[in-house]
Amino acid sequence: MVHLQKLHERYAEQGLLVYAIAVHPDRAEAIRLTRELGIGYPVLWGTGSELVERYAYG
Amino acid sequence: MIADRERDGFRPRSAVRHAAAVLGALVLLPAPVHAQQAPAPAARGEVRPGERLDRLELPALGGGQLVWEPAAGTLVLPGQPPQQPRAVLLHVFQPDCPKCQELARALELLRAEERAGLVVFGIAYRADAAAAAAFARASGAHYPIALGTGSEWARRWSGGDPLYLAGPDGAIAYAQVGFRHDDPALWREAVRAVLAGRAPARRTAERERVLAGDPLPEIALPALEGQALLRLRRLPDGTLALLGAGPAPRRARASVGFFSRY
Repeated sequence: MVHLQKLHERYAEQGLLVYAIAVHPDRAEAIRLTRELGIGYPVLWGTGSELVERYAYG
Repeated sequence: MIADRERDGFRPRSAVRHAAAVLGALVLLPAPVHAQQAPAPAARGEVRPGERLDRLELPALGGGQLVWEPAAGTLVLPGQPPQQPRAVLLHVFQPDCPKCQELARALELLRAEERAGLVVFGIAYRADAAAAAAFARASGAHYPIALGTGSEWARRWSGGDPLYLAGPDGAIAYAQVGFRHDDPALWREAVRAVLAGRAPARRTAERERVLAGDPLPEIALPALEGQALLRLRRLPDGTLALLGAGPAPRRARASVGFFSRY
């Protein structure tokens, strides 16, 4: 997440959209970690979603 | 995109092609890209069914050592005499991985069936003993768990938090990453086959993957914070837009998305 934050800071104005889909057992903890890491790009809540079930199996 | 393109080539760490599988990266350019996929080069830690797992000797959760000599077919679980299993189901996991916890629950159910000749154990990595113990409690896993954090074995074999089924010689007969609820049926068939001295009909589980040239999957999820529903859409003019993040669509020429377990 942190490395992509750098990518976001460098290229957002040139048209790159960086986003994360959070997969974590605890949403409150995911929020805390996201804040702690200083993430400025959009973070979506993916836990339990069909998208995560299909693609985020690792 | 169904992953049976690689049915016989399980490669948790083959760079970009597995980013979608392991890291879960979704990369989209404004216009579809239909680049010819060159064969992925061998990557560090790449494993395939048929490969033999390395010898391991790791501390076990709860004390003692877990020692497996695949070439000799000998396994020593803590507090038990050496044995020569005909099949070994081995789950390599990070304790904070939600899918790993689901997999462990299913694995425990299979272990409880007590198939003669089958041994189930896990290897935790990137975690300390307390985290591994918490994982075992949360998932109800009663099978032995070794602590592989920092080990060469985990460095080489942990890509994608895999589940391996090995035969008596330590050769991988079946392997998969992640977990879906229909996977245990594959495991049972594979275990039955290996215990009977046969190759399983399936050597891995099919997975959907996003590869270069594929359309971006439908993305409409709530924001992590707040109540907004965020949608990523391709607009008629060919640009991308993130909708819901503000009063106006946030347009982009390209996007990089990924699943984060933190």
